[in-house]
Amino acid sequence: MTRISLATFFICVSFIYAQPSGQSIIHKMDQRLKPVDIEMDFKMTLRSSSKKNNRKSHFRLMKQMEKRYQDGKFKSKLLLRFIEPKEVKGSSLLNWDWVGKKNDDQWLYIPKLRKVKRIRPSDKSRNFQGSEFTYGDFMERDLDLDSYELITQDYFSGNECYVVKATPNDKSSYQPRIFWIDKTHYLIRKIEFFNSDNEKVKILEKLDYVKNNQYWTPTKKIMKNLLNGNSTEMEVLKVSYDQGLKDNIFTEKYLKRF
Amino acid sequence: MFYKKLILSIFIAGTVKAQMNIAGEFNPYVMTRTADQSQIDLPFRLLSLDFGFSFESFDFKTVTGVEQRYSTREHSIYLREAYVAFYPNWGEVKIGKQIHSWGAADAINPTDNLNPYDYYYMFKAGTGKKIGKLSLASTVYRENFQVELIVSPYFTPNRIPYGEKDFPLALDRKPLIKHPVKDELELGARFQTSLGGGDISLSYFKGTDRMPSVQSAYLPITSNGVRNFDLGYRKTTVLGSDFVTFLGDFTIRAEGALYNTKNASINRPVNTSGYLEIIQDVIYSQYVVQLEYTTATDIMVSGQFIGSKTIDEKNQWFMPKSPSDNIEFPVLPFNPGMGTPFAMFTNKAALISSSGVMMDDQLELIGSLMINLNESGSMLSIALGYSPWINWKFELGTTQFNGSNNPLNPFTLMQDFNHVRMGILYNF
Repeated sequence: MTRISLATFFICVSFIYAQPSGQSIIHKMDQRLKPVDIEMDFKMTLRSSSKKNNRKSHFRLMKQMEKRYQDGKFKSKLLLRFIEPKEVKGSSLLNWDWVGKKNDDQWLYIPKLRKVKRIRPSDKSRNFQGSEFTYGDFMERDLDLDSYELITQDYFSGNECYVVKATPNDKSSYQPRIFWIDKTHYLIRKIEFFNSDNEKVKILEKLDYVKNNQYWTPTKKIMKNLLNGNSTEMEVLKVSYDQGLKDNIFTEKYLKRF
Repeated sequence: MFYKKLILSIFIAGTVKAQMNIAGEFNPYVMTRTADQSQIDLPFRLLSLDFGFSFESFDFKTVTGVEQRYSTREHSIYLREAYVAFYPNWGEVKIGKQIHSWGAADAINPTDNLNPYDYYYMFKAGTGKKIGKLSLASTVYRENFQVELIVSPYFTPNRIPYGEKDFPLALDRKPLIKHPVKDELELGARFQTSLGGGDISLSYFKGTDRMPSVQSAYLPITSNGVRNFDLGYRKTTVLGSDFVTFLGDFTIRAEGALYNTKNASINRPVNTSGYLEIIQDVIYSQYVVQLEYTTATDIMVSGQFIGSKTIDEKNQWFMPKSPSDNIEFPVLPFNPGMGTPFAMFTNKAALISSSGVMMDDQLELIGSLMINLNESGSMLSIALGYSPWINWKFELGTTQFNGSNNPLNPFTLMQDFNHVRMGILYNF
């Protein structure tokens, strides 16, 4: 009996020690090779669950350009531009993510006004152009802003995953999230979003990844809103990496040029 | 001939290798007077067509408008903008007929005096109410600041409705400009920098008023009080500043401009008997403070406090023939010839506006209420846009003015313009 108990104890201990920590999983995920710059065309399809709505889905075509920096000044710069629908064609968002600055700088260009407007940067929790994605979903969040805990292991979409809970260290617009990170490539397969009442409100599923050269790109992802039943599908139509995007693309000047 | 060939060559070379852009909107609508359901007969922009192409660091852009009037079935096609833009590493250079936008606030921008206004479209948002102006504009961008310089060689006045019985503020007849503008060169400069998470800017503009004003007159006043006034345009210098900053969940945008307007030099008649000139040197200001908030459901609520004030006014008549004579001639009330068109309604107002979308972006609701803080008067505007298909929108809106017992109150005058508007908008 004692031998069995001891064996069980050692198996449990070795199992526990064999598990990587949530922090190390997230860091390993973050260490995956990332492109310096990325240019991507994508289609966003907004699906409604409302019975009153006769337009069950509508779409937006967008272009995203992003550049990562190692100059100690900026973390990244991002430009998002509408291509369709025509009513909002040319409307663009520019984001500068600074090193050591709490808030990003954000500007919005609306062609009808012919004006670049600086907008409130903390609006990251707001829905992005009527979709179920938020502005924050297009931007990277610092890893050290959250604490990570490995809570279990699970299968998602045929992939064996670590399930890691991220809890914000400070009071912010972000609430706890649970990540499904596959064990093979350390890619995020699914994220569950919670509100301040710890109620699950949204699920993001990254259904397809494509490896171009050494970079992985989620080519199809769906954000489901559990509160209203709506969902938004984002499909990558075209992607290019490390083209040497110039710094002047991420300026007010380029924001106005479409 | 050389320039035509040059432009044609650029155009052909550009279109061969360039990326072409064609976009626009088709927007027929009718306005029906609330009082008697009669149709308001004013010209409106039926079609706006953007055509251009981009080639490496160059853009060529045109915006063409088609204006229609139902009663006469007349239409006119006019070029609202046509310019070439060059984007070197340090910034941008634009030359041609173009519309500029300055200022941090929404819709009401005292610092934005580069383009004249088209008063037929004074309630349109953004560039829709402005008239393109031939100019050379250059902007230098740096990480923390930008400097913009604009030079315009030609004077262009506001387009003011006249002889329009359906527009209460229209002039009876086309103003006769007796004193044409001599020095037409206009100059604008703006410096903008980031400050504590926001932006602040300083601007300077020197140019000719967009609205005519009295420059000279002849004695005597006729028995029925009609005076023989001669119109011209004053010269105005504008010093402006605007900023945007964030306070918690609120965004504050503020803008103010100080105008110094003086009568321009004019050609005197040979016979100066009974001829008077006005000596005017007026300093006035216009300002707007805007507070905006966006709710969790993406409803944008904004409040604006708008004001204007005459700070210093020198306004006296002078008789060139006998300068020492003390002239008994009525001093005319001062009317600004430059600045935001809303200043013609009141010199102190509050504007509350809100916009939001619902039914998965199919339904858009926009509402605004302007309250005259000086005298009784308000303007309520509600617009609804329903978009059952992509790029199509059905529009329904109403604008209601409410004045006072004072028949000269602009809000009272505009009551006859209270209307319901219905239209279709197709973007392509």
